[in-house]
Amino acid sequence: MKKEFKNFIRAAKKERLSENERTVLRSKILEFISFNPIRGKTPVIRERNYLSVFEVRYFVKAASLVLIFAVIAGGSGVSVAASSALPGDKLYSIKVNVNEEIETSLARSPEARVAINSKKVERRLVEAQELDKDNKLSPELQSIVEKKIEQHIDSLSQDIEDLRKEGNVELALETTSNLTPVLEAHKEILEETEEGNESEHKNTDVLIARVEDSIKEVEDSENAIIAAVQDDSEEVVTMAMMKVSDPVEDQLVKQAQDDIETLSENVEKVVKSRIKTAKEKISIIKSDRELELSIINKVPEVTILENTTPTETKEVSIIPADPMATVKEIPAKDTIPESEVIIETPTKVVNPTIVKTGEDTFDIDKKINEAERIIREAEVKLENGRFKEALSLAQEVNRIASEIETFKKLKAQGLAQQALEIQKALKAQAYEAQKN
Amino acid sequence: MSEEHTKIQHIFMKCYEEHSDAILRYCHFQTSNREVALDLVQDTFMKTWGYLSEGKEIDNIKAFLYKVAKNLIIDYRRKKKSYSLDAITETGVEFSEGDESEDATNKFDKEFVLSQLEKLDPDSQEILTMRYINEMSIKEIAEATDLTPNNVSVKIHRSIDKMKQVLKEYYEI
Repeated sequence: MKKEFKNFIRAAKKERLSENERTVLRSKILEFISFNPIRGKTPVIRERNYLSVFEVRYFVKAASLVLIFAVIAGGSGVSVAASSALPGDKLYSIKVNVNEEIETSLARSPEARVAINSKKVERRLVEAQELDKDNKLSPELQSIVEKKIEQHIDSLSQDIEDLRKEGNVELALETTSNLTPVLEAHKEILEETEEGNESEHKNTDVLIARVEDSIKEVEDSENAIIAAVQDDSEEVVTMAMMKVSDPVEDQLVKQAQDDIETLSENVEKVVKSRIKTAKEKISIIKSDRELELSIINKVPEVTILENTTPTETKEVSIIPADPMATVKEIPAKDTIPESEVIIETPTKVVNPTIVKTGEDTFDIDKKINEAERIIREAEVKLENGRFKEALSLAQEVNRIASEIETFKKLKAQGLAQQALEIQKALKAQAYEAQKN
Repeated sequence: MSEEHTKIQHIFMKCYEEHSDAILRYCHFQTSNREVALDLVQDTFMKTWGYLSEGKEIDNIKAFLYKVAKNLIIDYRRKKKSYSLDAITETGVEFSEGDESEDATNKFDKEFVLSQLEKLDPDSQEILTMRYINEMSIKEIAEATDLTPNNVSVKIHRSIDKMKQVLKEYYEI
């Protein structure tokens, strides 16, 4: 019916004055006009369809708006679809090369650029996680994501540097302090998925390393900012100590002192929160450790397999050379520091699922103690206004915390592997026993 | 003749070139008589000039022309009987002069449009002519018909439905 209606309209539009009619009518009207000249004041005709210069200006504005909307509306289909694209998708290049480039080009101030680049880093990490979740993170895709993260972090460092040069230390610090936890959270997620991933798709290693590098880079910029602030404040103090007599310079020193004070407050805030995070991390690790130890204390009575076959001693040889695999832990009375764990020559095979080993090279408790000591030191430094040192101490604690976490994960993986082998050994043993 | 008169005349004639076809369509589809429509177009422009010559102001010439045309159509309908009788005595046949130069399809189209439009009520005829045949904006129609834009929109919608119904019947026969 639409078509018929259209045809009808088209037919209707054909109705018009013939040239002859138009000429005749025109001359008639002109004749009429000549007989009826304008009397009195000048009449005004406004034709809304004609655009005056004034209106043209608005028209251009309106037209450009319409154009922008058209581009958004027309292009939005693609660009919206692209916005959820993952590496490897056809639309991914539109997402990173068109959508995000537009975003970046619209950001003029370093503040806006910092925000966008931080967002981009996050997006890349989320993409990697999405792919990883579905086991689709091939080495090629991983390297795409990795390169992008590197790019974003580079521009981010540049932006942070710009901010610092501009004197916007506050925002620079805010950016770094917001970004670090985000990066760390993503790192953890990546590590967890890798750990949980039983298949051979363990491709997140490189990515995790990249994120770690990024964290380090952000921390470096943070350190640089804080060092600069500290240098400035020291300079001001020196100047004040020299007691310049010139009133103008005096004023300048005062002004600088005020500025430094505000800056120092901001720096203090950042360092404080960093120390707090580090402290929290360590306390979580510590309570985990305590829980672990208390479980170890109770384990043996319940879990040592008393009814294993008498041939078990023979099977020890099947188990890899690592003594940890067949360690039997003897419960200590109250607390058991690692040194007290007695490693026996195995006489009984321990239930593999609850094997808890002593740490021969890596001592978690020692590390925790060290971290706690550093935190205390950092707090003292903070009180004394030695922000730079306090911050690097806090970062050191963070590093220790990650180290412990990584170790725990590796150990868990190793244990799972060992458990698997012990299970195999037990089965083989049982089979042997049956045969005999 | 003053310079201002020339200037206004020039603008007015420009309006004539621009809107005469639309006014003709409007009058033709409202009266179903091309000769009458031609006269009405002439009257519309003359009346409008008469108004201007008194030094008055026209804010939107397009809407104003439609308004004048509309009033003339109403007048014409009132005295339709005698008017059409006169026309027949004078010219004998409809579409006489202008249509001689037109080809057969054009003539057929016009007759077809008219025959279909005639099946509608005058209000729908008017609104469809303005909106779709003369491509006026809703605001312009509102100004020409003294209705609110909202009212115009509703009327357009209803008229389309009616027209579609008419066309459906035509094509199904």
